[in-house]
Amino acid sequence: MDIVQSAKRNIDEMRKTGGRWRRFFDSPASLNLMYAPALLLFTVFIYYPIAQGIKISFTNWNGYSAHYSFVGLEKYRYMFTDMRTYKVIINTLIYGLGSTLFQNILGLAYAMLLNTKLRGRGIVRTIVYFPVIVAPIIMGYVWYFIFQYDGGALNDIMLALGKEPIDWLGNGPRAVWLITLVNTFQYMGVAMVVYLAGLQAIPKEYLEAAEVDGASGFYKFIHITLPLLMPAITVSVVLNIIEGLKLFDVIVSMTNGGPGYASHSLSTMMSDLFFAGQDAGFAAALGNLMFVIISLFGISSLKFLRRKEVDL
Amino acid sequence: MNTTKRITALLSLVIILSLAACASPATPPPEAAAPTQPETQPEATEASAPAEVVTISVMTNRVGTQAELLEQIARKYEAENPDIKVDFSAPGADYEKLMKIKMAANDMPDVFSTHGWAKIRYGEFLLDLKDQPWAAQLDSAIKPAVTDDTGKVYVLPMDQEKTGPAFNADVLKEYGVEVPLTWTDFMAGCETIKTKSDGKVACVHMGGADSWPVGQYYDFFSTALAISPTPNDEKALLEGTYDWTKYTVLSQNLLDLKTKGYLNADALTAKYTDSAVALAEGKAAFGFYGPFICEEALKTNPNFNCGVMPIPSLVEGDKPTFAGGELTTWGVWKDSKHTDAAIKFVNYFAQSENVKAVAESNKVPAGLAEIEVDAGYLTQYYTQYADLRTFTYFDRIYLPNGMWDVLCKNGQDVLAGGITPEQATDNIAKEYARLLASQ
Repeated sequence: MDIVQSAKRNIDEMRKTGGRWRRFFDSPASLNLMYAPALLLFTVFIYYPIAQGIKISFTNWNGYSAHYSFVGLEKYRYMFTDMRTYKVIINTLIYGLGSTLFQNILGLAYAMLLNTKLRGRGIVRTIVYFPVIVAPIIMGYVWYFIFQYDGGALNDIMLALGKEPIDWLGNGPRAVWLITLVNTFQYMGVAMVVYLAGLQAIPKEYLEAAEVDGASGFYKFIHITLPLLMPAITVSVVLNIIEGLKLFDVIVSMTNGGPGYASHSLSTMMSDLFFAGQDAGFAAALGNLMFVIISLFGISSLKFLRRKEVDL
Repeated sequence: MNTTKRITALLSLVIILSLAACASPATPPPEAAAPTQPETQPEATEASAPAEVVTISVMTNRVGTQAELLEQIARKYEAENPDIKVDFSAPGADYEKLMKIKMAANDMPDVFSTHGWAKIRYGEFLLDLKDQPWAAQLDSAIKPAVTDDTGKVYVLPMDQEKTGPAFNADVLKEYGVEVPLTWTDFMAGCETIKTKSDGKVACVHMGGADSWPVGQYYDFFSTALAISPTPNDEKALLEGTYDWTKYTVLSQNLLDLKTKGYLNADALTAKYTDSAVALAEGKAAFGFYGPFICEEALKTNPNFNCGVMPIPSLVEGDKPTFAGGELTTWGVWKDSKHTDAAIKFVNYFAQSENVKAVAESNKVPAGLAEIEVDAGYLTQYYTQYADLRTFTYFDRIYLPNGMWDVLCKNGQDVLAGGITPEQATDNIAKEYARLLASQ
């Protein structure tokens, strides 16, 4: 008892003599200090570059010179009157939304397959997920060599079948869809893993009860599996949209945005304008547009899908 | 509520700090960027004090055997100057991007190569080398590319380009085609090769996936179209009043090569290295590159009989020409902390045996006068066409920064069928006006 009272006395004494700092660290407010390192990193690597990007978009800076002038909204005016911008936006949407659609359909299909008592499902899961761990630029080169006209694997098959070889990536619209499919191939494993986790969280009792009531497989999927999978769908779709709209490496290694500007995305066009076009102002304006587009699609899809979750 | 307020205040502070940071220029203002006096080196002033070892950074865009030779000479310089260390690097394909980032940060290597852009791009970062012993020895053909009206000497040119399309001499011999000196003859030669080889040999191989080979085509023939003929459009181009509708012929000729089956079928997706292989293996006759592709092709086929020809003339009555300009150069950063050591390094490379070695490794003429160069298997062509004129690469004089990419991309689009030659001209003219205005 004496010991307890002595300890209490000591603590009271420390509180009295510890001063302001001790009181601060004892209070919940001190937790705010824990944000500081993260906030500092965000400031240096996110907020500062964003602010610089906004500033550069109002200049005619060529990307390296010490001299530049402020040109107001000229770069934005040019951006919206340049037909290349619209072409690149359409390509970016195909990469973003097309990849999201295919990745989620295929990812869900694989997840449902692997959610059954399939023999060798571990191997299937590894094979489908394996492309995710390959660097996108390498993945692009691998597929470039498959689609290559002279000596490409696909054309070798065509020749073996007695068909004429095709310059697969030489046609702009086709190249855009092939890049979308390569991106799908690489990242459908991520969607598969997300959906598999979602499927395994669905209580079996719901499906069994539906089965007892005579529900068909399709009915169970539409009315039980899909609604209960909405949180997983939200995560997968939003992530895929954001990543797809930012697509860069695969495009660079497969077509470098060509032929001409035919397969450029906003990100590759931005890089091209900065380094090859030496027009940092235009590149920054395009970067800001990309930020707005990704934010719009990311936030609206998140809100839409979250609302579906609430509706359950 | 209080916590929310605190977080809001903290975020506001961060944003204000970011914006405040943006208010100061990323690069020094013009005053700060003005040439400064080089710092006097301790070893130059204090003869009695022990020599301090300084390290100079040296970067080149050259790769492969050429880069190895430059490094060997740099190491010899290092051995002869124990108080100077050389940090030599040859980053290869990333050189240009790397240098742009370094320029933006005003943090350049002490000595660096300028790959054709000594005046226009790197000019404001380079020290004037006009007082160096070799400055009076500059070859007349390269002098305009590395000096200006004020007499400033931007770089030491160890060699200079003398470039035209490369060809497989054995293929031309096999199909009985003479080296064409006009565009009409060129197309006739292509028809012969196509017919006699039954379409198996491409007259011209283009590595269009890399995009720059398309730009190289435009660059070669822009001179033949607008500069080498008499009368020409040089004045209009320099004044920015050129009638770009005349330029459509270049895109049309490019499209003709494709539609008539004279280009490789994968001209849009093949790469430069594919062109080298195709030339080496006799699958193509010509390539709009230069002597440098010969060395690349020889790696595939050591018996490759490579030739270099002048750029065929486009206008009746005109003569074929070569494209020229800087190739291997050294310039000194004006804000270098080790200017004396850097200048000494450049002067070491200017010694005749070093200039000769560098020029011979590229099989091109030297950049300094009175230095004889053995261009090996290309000597016969340089001798054969010795009387023809050499013009500096078109884009380096007549086009604003950023136009090269416009030519590459529009040429690709024409080949892909995405736009017509007339539309390509519209795009080129529009971009020319915009880029010229923004410089």
